[in-house]
Amino acid sequence: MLGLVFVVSLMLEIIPGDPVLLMLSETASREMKEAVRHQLGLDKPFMQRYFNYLGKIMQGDLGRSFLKGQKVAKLVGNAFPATAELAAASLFVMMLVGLPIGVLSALFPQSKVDFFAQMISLIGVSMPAFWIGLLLIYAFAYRLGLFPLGGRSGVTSLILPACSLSMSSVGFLMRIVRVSMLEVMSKEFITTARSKGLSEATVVWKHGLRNATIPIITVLGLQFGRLLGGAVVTEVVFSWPGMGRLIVEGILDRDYPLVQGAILVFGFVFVVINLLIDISYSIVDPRVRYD
Amino acid sequence: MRIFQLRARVMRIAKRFYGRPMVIFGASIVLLLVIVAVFAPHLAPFDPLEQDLLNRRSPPCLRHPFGTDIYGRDMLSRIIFGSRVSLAVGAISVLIGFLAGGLCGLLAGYYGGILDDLIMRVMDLLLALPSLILAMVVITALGPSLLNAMIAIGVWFAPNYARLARSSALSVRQKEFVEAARAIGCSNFRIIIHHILPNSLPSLIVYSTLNIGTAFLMEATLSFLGLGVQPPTPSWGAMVNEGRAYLQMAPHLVTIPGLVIMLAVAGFNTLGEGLRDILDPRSGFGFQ
Repeated sequence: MLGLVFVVSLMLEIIPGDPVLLMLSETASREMKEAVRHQLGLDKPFMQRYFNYLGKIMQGDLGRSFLKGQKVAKLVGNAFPATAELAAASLFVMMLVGLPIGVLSALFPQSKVDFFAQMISLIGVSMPAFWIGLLLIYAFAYRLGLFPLGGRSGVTSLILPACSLSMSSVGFLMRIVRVSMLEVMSKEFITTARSKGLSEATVVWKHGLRNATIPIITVLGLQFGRLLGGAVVTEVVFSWPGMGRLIVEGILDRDYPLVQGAILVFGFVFVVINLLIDISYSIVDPRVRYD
Repeated sequence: MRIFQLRARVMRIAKRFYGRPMVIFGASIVLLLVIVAVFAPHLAPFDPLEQDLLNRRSPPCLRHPFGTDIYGRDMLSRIIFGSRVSLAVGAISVLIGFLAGGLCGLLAGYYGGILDDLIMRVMDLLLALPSLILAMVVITALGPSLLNAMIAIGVWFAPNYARLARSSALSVRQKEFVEAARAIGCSNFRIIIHHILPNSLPSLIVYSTLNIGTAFLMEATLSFLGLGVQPPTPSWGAMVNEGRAYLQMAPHLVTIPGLVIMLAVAGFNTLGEGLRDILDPRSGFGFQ
């Protein structure tokens, strides 16, 4: 996390352009510019600013946005729930579509279902996220009028962005589910379960999928992180007031504290997600505890 | 003798291609794309920058098979010239990632110790940032342009190449032939270039083929956000962005360039995956 803050601070340091000039008008006097620069702490050396910032983070202070004037923690706090909501909804869509199709494709390898799944997967990973978003807006908002064009106003406004964001991840999940299930379904305990006379549904969903879960959970966790980060384009296309848009605005306006704070929160969420994935391993597979 | 061996190897690889329709599909798209990019000035029916303000946003017709854009420019010609931009970004950004990341990974894997820790921790930091945000920060630092988009995408690729090259170097450095090279007094540089690198190349090359499709998507996304190729240079992502405001009136401005991006990415992805299966060193069809 410390390294992440350092790298982001360093990158922002080398970005050309002076935030003070963006805040003040062209006609502002030199003294005024110097005063603002001093007030923002930009007249201090880079390393001093970096350590000051670290000290503030320890106290829960992410600084104050140069241009918006509000506390970064407040801005991020307002935007993060929107992005988390979008990522969670996308994860739900991803599981709803990717899991059953992946399982079916593993149960009937080299069949039409398998071919169909592979096609969906290929198209999903090959489509640009912004294009899917625009196509969905055209079809379901303009032509059919079923959903709003953009913004965040209830469940209906969440469906199109969630479908758009989950598209590439669905294909990825399908492939992982297929590979894991193919491996598990050839194991001896599956033959034993069948020989005991269990129904095929119980064999597949209870014995097969449960044992294929670990790689699937890893992918779901990693994809959730990816969805959080990849929401930038979807948020721009659907005017979704989330972290992605906040970071884009921050980068374009050279609003250093805003970008630093937002990326720090992203980094923290990634770490927490990885921790949750590790914990969940021992829940779904008790053998992991003894390893 | 060597020519016969090479021919036999090519034949074996060609046999593996045969009977894989998806790989042939991918290879055909890539080949078509390369031909279109190379012969763009001869294939394009119009100048991609020539405006016809009386004929703006015209839907596809015989004269303009892909229609015209918001300035009346021929979409087909812009898409043909846009293939040059996409291929250039794909090839050069992958090369930047390959050279920078591959070299760092080889050094980290071969020398180990503090150098390994230092290089890989920096790579981990780059991996921790969401890809698009990292690329945006790099582009904002350098300024939006085609070259800077390539650098930004290359920087994003670098950590993955580093990991791949490092793992390969780690496994090869313990082999007897490396010991033998060291014993006869070869320098570290020579060992890395002549023994470690050739053994890492197959996996790096296959990974590169897969990455070109990703680079296409990334370039299109950056251009869509206004951070990639700058107007009036034709770029597929920028074309979608330009047509976005007219989605309801003239959907072809968005659908056609997007479809082209999708096909191109799908072509590289299927070819890359096919190559990965065919050239897997463990199957004996690698470059070694």
